[in-house]
Amino acid sequence: MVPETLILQIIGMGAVLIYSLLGEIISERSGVVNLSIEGSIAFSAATSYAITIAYHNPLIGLLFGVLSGIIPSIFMTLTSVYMPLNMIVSGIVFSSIFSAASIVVGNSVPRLPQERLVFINENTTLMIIFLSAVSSAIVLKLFIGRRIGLLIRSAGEDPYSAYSLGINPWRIRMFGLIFSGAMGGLTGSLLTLSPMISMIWRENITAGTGFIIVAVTPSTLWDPIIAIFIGIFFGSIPLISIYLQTSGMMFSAELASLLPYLIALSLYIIFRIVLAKRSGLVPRALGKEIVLEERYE
Amino acid sequence: MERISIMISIYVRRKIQDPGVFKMLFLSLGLFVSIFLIGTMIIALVGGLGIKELLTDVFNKDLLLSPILIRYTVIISLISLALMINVASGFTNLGGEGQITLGMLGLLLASIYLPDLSIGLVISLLLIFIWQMIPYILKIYRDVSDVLTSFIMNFIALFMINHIVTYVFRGDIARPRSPPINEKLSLHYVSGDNFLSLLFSRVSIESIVTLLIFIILLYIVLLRHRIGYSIRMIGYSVKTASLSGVKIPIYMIISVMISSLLLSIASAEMLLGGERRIYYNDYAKIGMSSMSFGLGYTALGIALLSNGRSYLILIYSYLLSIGYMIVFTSYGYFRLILGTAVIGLSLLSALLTDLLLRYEVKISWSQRR
Repeated sequence: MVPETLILQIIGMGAVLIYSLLGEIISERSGVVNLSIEGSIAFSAATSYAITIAYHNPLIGLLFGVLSGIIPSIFMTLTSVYMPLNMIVSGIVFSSIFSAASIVVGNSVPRLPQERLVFINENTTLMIIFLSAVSSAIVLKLFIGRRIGLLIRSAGEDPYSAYSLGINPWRIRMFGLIFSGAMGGLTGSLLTLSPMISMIWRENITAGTGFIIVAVTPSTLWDPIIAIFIGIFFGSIPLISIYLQTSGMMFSAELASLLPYLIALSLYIIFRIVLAKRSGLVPRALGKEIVLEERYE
Repeated sequence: MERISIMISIYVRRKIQDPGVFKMLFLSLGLFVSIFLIGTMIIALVGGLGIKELLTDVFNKDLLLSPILIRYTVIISLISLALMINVASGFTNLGGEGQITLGMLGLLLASIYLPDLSIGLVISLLLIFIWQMIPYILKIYRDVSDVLTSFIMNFIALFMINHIVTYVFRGDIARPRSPPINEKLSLHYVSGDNFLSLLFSRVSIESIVTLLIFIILLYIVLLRHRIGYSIRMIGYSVKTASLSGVKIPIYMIISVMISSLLLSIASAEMLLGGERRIYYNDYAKIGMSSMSFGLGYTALGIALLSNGRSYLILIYSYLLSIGYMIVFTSYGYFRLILGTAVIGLSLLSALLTDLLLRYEVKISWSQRR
């Protein structure tokens, strides 16, 4: 019999991952692999924690967390959208720099368990967070079929054709990145503010969540609805392995920590190989810079 | 009230000419040093460390030619050379961290079962070879991102090593770490009271000799020989290489084998010239908390900067080692911050140099009323 608390924790962790998956989906649909999402998550986790401690208000902490998640994306926009630098290496650069910055911010306030987001009670709050993640996915799914969705997809499929039709693909990619950063910011803030996930900020609180998100995005087929299931699945892996360990099954904590990376990598490889044969599913200009050799503003 | 808006324009155009060596050297060195210094100063100020103390601690005559600085220069050069040949063959290898730790595991296995240095090096070479081939094969034959795959494989390797030093080869009851490496697995060091021993007392003869041989060898092979042309052609375009009759699997194996050999020597130097134990890495952190101090990432920055010219690696490695000395003089969480930032800054300077070498970039702004 699976305990109720475990289900709630899976829902809570799953919701946190769904947000950043949705952000990454939009960014990749517009053609940019946003690996700086790890930096967004780490930095926003620290800022939301510090702001909540300073103002005693988790909602203000959440707001600042979302805003601070956008900062790495702005740098990423400069290097990978407006300048043709390697997206993956740029992402790792800004992840490193903002992870370092997160340690500065997180250590600037005393390590106290801060007030968390509790609306009615902990369980209801978790359900609210989860339902809002699911409804965001549904709304995004609807948007992808509309004009704004088509614009985003045009930048990810063929930015040069989009440009010749009068669409500004750089601006669309910038929007995709900023949206992705904000969603990463939401994820980071919820890692420290959401009930039953974390009591306190600590270094390496993200545990590579952003990298896992980038690796599992192809397995969502860039579809927000599938992202819900993938988010719940990945949210459940660490919790289920902890549950199995505590219930007496021989399972080392180190191997349990390895599991999400192994599954994410396997899924990434399998989906890349399978999707390569079905070219219609992968955004054709994904990871490719746009250089028109003329002025853009 | 009058409204003024500022319009920033960025102009990017591909350069057709290949940049000369001197232009490349000056540009990359200038960027590397300035980004590094500015970044470290900003973080030092934010962290509350005095610039004066930082400079007097690090930039003094004794330290700039100290054995520890030379040791790190040699280690970083070995790793950078290994990653440089990967980059030349089209494999952006971000899995250096995991591969170095696996190399250490190879030495540990030899220390337990067959205590001999050459056997240890062969085992570590094989482990690194296998770990490198997985993302490279996937990239060449299935177009799977080598950067992402090799990067995530770091975490898998680090957690696996954590499991091994906790449950399989635990050498200490109090805390998880491996048993000490057998004394039969030892490197040779310069001894005596002479100038050479003053400079090279902290780095093994094996590492120095390997480094010098491979700097010359890789310069000749990569830039002046048919093997190097074939390897670089695979790096530019697998399809072109295949259509030109290049036997891709053979050159893949050659490049990965050379890279694995250099990484195995580097991991031997780090493990056998250090504390001779493999430690548990809490949360499999990258950067300063890992056994390899994040060199797997920073060395990639140098590999990208050197642009296939092996002799440049020595200069960049020396400068990066000074950066690491700054990190080592700090302590506590501040050391972690600097260490993490060093990784980001070295890669950033490599990216910007690459941009300025390949593209013409003009940034202008205008006011509109």
